[in-house]
Amino acid sequence: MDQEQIQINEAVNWFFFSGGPGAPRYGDDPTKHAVDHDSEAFVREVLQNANDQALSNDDPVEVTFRFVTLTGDEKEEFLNGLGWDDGLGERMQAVADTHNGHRYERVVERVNDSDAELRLLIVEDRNTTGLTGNWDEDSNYAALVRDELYSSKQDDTAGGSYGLGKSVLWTFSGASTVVFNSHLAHGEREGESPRLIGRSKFPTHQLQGDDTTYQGAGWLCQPIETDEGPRPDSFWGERASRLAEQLHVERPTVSGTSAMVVEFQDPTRDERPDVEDLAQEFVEASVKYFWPAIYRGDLDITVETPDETLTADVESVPAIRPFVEAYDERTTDAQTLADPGDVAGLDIPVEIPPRADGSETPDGSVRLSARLASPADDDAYLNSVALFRGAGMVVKYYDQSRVAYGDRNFFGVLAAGEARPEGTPSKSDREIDRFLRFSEPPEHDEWESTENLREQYQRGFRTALDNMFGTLRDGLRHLISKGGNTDSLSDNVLNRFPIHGSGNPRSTTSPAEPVFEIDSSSRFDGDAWTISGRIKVLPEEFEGWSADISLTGVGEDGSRYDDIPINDVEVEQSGVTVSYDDGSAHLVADEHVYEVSFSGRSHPDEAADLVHGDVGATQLEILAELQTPEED
Amino acid sequence: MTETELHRLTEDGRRLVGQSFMKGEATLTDEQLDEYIEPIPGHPTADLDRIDSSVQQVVQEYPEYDTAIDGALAEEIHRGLDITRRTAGDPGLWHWLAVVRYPELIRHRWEYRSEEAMREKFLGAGSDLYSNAIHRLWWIAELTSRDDDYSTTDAVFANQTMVNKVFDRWFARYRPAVRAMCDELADEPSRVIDETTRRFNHALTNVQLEGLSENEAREMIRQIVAESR
Repeated sequence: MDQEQIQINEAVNWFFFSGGPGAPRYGDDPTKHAVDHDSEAFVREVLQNANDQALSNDDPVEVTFRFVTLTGDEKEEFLNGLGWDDGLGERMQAVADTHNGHRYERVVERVNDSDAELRLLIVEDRNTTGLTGNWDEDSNYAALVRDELYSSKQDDTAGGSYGLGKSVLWTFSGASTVVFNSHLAHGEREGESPRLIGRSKFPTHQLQGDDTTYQGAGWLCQPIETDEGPRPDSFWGERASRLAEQLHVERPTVSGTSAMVVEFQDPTRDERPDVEDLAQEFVEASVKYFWPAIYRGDLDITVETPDETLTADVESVPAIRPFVEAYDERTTDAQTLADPGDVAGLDIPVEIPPRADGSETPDGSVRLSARLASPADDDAYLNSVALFRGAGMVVKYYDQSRVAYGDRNFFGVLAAGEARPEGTPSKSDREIDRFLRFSEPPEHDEWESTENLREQYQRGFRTALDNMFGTLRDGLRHLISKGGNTDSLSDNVLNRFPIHGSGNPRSTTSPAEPVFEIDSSSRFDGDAWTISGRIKVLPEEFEGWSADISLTGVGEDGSRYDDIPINDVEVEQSGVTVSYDDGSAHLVADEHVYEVSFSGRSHPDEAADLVHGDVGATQLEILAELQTPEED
Repeated sequence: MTETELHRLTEDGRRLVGQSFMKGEATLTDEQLDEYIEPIPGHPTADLDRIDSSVQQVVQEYPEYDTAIDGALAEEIHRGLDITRRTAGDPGLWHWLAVVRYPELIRHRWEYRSEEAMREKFLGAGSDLYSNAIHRLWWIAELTSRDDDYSTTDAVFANQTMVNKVFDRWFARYRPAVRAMCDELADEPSRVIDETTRRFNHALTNVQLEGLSENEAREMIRQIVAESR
């Protein structure tokens, strides 16, 4: 050990606050019990934290999970750097001796057993903010290193808003200890990067021959004196660099943070899985929850083990590929699904209540798309809808298997907020993103009514969510149905959407409100189909409207055939013209017509025979479109 | 004749089938496959030696992607695989046959056009008769043969329009109807096949398919063919 190294080791110090008489006691880190903790949850939480700290440039956030195993001299060297013999070991032994310290005891045994390996996991993110700020202010640094359950996230689109996610780092450390090394993007001490500090979270404990009760949290740091007493402070610059190298947490000089989890272990498992298996699980969990961000080029994830480097790309997990296709083709005009692999989509209107301060919020929509499954697809997440917003993290796979029937299985995507458009998000996209962010509970695995929503928005937030999910389910049914039974279902469904048939929406009324009310009936009277119906316009202001009426034959298996030509259609009201095109009737109504009743017949077929395929199940379809005054 | 026990590929095993395997650039070793192969309840057996030699012969004699391969193999596969429909209803069996036993045959018969299309040839099956390459041959033979008579099967495979138009419909699962349909359409041009299957499918929204005897179905189809010409 050279002279400089000795000096650094002398500076390494474990600092614990003493509680004083009557101070609260902590059994163990309370956040450890707050979320489900399997390795999937770990990956999800850690990536979400990195993703939220993205710099506002066009470069993707890069995250590397690196597994390191240490034995022999390397392990000794590491433990020296960690200050095992300078306080940490003694404390862990003290904690291990308490009534709930089994987990710590196993780590102490592992450290003392010269044949046992130590397993480190380093989570390195790049192109992120880094640990900026000071102990005594509201900052990234304080949120991670000082506080509990306190979030300091970049902006309204951030994935997290509770500060719970970071706790998984400690939960997955057998030693409940994590070391951070960070290169800062901005801030007064950017030039002094890197910055290094370690933190452990133990239960309240006492040391032998020492009457002091120590609170749980401790820091591997340089303590400094302040007006309010001693405080932990980070190592900076060259010293931090040297120590980082010794602790395997060194990093390139780009902004971001490396977090090193000491003795990585999954608290939900008894056995110790192979690093290679863990690496594969990490890749799968990364893609499962972050494929939208990966696909959009906002996030690059790699997993390194001593033997290999794996890349989490959207192709590497077959179960996710159908969702990627559904998202990729979400802007399609198609509203029906014919063959396996087809994608169809719909806009789902969302109406958000005003914010709590009274400011109005624009209404907008989120985009639903679905891909019809083929028997060859990996069906791990069959018949569910991936919900996500601008952060690019799948909040959940929403099970909608009740919508599937026969061989009509699907993979759905609900792209909300800033994830909806292909280009720049609109004002309403940004508001929806914000709204949904506040609707996520600490686990970020639901969109539901929360305390945060109540604080941020006026009454109506619960209805807004209920309506969105209700319309989502109806819309999905509409996409998945074969279009074979419009009589009740599809008319109902069509009424809920501003767009009827193909063509772009031109309605500028609130998209959440139905535009038409349509009733219809049809029957075969011996040689032709007799049809009748009523179309009523609901909005008060419009410049006119049009409707296409058509009849289509349907097969036993739901397949649709050529149109059955309509011979004539009569309308009772004036102000409506009727024309015929390719067997369907086209009505055009002027701005005075609010309601039309029509009746008509198909071309008669004298020889029509029920058993020879002349007449059979037939679908009457009415597609109506409203013209509204152009908005300035 | 030696009987070999049949197996199935598990659902997890389907994940072994990647692009390079389907293209024939990579093979799956026994070691990789072992974990994903399991016996079928009832331990059905089949004369796989017979199928092995027919497949070998066909792959040598016929050029790549030749549709005539279907007709040359359907009878042999059906005779070799003397199994119940219940066994045949297990997709895992067809996945095992396609992925483990006869991947070269699949690649020889079907050109790799897209990952999705090729996955279906290896991993389709179930309710879609038309998907898995071997499943398709067996089922069409099952639905069109009469005891030892495979003449209708041969007629069907001689005409790919018929394979496409008839076996892609739901009524193709009902043997009396599908036999009558294949017999009556054997010598008709594509246009008539197209129109007849469409009309029959439409008529079945009025007539209960399973209520029809083969003769009744045949009479109905004859008239539809006459109107479709």
